[in-house]
Amino acid sequence: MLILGIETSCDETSAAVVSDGQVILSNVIRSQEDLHERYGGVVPELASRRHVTAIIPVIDLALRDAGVSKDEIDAIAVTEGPGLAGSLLVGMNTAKALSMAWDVPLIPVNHLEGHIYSNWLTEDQSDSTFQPPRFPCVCLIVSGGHTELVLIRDHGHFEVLGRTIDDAAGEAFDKGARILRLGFPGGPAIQRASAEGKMGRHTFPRAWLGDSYDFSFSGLKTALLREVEKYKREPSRPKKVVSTDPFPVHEPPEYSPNMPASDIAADFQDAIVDVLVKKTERAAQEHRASMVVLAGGVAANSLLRKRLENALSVPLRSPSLRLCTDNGAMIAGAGYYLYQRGIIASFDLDISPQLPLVSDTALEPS
Amino acid sequence: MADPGTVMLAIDTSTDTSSIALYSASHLSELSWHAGRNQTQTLLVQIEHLLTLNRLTLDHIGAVAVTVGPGMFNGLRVGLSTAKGLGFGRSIPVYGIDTLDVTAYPHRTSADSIRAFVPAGRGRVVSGDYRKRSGRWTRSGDPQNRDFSEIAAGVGANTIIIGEIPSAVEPGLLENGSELLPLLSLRARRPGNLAELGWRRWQAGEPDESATIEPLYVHGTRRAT
Ligand SMILES: [Zn+2]
Repeated sequence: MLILGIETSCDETSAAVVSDGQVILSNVIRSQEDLHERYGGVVPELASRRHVTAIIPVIDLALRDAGVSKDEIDAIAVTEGPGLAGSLLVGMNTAKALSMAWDVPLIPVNHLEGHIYSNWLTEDQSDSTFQPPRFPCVCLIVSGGHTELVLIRDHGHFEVLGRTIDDAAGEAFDKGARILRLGFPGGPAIQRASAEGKMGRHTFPRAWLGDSYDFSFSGLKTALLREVEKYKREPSRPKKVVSTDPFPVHEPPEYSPNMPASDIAADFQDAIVDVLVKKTERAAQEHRASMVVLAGGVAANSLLRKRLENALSVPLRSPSLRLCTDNGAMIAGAGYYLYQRGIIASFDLDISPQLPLVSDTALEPS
Repeated sequence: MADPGTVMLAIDTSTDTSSIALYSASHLSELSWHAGRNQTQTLLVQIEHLLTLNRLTLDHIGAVAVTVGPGMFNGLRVGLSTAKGLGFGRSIPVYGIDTLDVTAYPHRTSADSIRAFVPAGRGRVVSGDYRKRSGRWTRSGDPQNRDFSEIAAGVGANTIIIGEIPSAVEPGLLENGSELLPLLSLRARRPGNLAELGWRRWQAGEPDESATIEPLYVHGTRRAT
């Protein structure tokens, strides 16, 4: 079964063709990083605008890359939410129109479920040793918009053990990188700087929140602001008087050249990774997970992968770096299993910017 | 009613009132409804409904016309994404039409000047001024993003004001004798007009715009989103 997956929930326009929820035939991702860099974060209105112009060329390329024609597509899977409303509706309305045009089922996919299913995908069509993850597993979803620890007992059976109560881990990286003037997106920027820095010279707080599996990263940001305060100095050039940009441009602060930004970044990264690893490890133990799976943009962080691998007594599985970012293949992958469970949408399907991750199946009594 | 590939589908989701039309050489069928923010939920359902009512299928649609704005940014994206999806999916041409042109179109034979309005949300409207110049009907200047209170600013005598205007503003306009404010049914935007503007371009063999069209975003002088 060939599913076309469409993903436009944030700032990547993506479309992919996936066979039987496993083999990626194509996965076109058009990133907008260049567009949002000067604002120091994703500007929702600009993201929506880029999706409108990118969506058809991206879908066209996904079909070409996969070497399939329009009439070979069996179903269309699309991100329903969560995400930015203006961005989601571009993918959703395009997907609905294609579903009508080709007379194929429309499958609504939760973006977080998509991230989880990036671990069920392989780019290697000839890999006969590929094994999908085993249940029950614990999944740590870490991205710019989400930090969730999910227990998965079976396809469609999700129990959210904890989530962030303020900033997502990726958001903390973005804000941290912005404060330290390391660039956008923050995750890779902090990781690069940390590699050149020395750890252990700055102390950052860890919000354990008792026995809860919830996360909090806003205190960390405040601590970072306090740390860099002493290196701040007056801007050397006068502030620009008028900006013709209709969106507020990010004006980074100026610091003394002897601020040890790399050292600070290393300890800042350590504080985030520390909490993620300890909570994930505890969740895996408590729920006797047979493995832990990682997902989301921050899953690309190499310190997080290394620390988790060392801490866990069960196997760790992480998607390839390309599948960590938002992409259409993960939506098509999750869509396949939703379709197997009979979940398809009618044309009155709406976007759902706040959509929570919930189970759609009850467990068989054991 | 029609042969395959001979009907134009028109889609207008520029504002809270959504509308669609089917237009062929000899028939026009229109449908409009107050969609508010439920455009994503209702648009494709209504397209299917209008096709069924007319005993047509998607096979009959040979081209799509869609309003590109000005209007509500998210609304425009709903219409454009749907039009592009249908255009790409069925391999048929898509034509983008200015929402102000659609609004002014039925008054093109009038001797008076026209100021056409499209609500832009958050208490703002976008206006375009049209007049006859040496017998030709043209728009003068770029569209302007204005506050509701400035709806009639600078209009001369015998200017017809058309478009969706919030009812709170109407009495002021009616008292002011220098402008002509037709009743709602005569000044509301209609999908048949959109279809006809698109139809002319299709029949003239103009190239498909589905790969290139994007919404027309008209910002105010103050920061707008
Ligand atoms: Zn994501």
